Amino acid sequence: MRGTELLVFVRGETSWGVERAEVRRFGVTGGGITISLRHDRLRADRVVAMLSTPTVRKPGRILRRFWPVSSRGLAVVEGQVVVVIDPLAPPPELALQTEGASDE
Amino acid sequence: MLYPLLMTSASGEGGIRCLLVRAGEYLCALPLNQVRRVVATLTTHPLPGAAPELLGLAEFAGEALPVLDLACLVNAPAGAASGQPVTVVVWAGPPAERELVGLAADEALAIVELPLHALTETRLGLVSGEALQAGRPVRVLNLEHLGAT
Repeated sequence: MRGTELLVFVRGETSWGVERAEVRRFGVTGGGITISLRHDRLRADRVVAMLSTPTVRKPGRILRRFWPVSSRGLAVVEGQVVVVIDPLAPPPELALQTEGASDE
Repeated sequence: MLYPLLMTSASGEGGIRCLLVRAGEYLCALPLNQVRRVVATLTTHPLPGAAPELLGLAEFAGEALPVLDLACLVNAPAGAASGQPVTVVVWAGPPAERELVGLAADEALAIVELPLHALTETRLGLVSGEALQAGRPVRVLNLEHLGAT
């Protein structure tokens, strides 16, 4: 997976990425940011950057054994590991749980 | 063959060269031919929902590296705190599909040669055998097992 623009955001102690083409809009919730995707909405603590052409590698067998969550792969950006999510099956920890989220 | 990977790293004198590390109260021997580097503990970023053995992901040589808690992997009781914890970057998984992972350990102790005749087969998953080193039990690890599902 190469040549895809990624939106990088932080949730908890982890940096996450999602393909820019999947992003529809941003919103603000109490103390956080809502990222509306084509098929889902995510909660972020903050948005970090929009990156072009990072190299994304598929997660290895050992990582999948201990973290059986679907993802598009892993990238390293400026020394930071970014987990690129599968927009059709984002990790439940990124789910939007706050009521009253409003898109802007 | 009991120790297929270990045998290939034998020095020719009937021994297996290993990196000896401490994980909690256990001493563990990592086959030297599967050790790529020993570095000061890498900063890891946890993954929500991960198994307790997985500390998280770290950056190593420009790549994302899963880092596993060695003490947790071998069910070691907690030991004395260490002033020099390390991450041992190793090749793990089957030879044809080996991949780099980090093993967080309390300290790296020495490179030792364990006599083959002194090894006792255990076949307890990751721990493939045991031996005595300076009177202390050492768990010899089979890192191929990490790739098993």
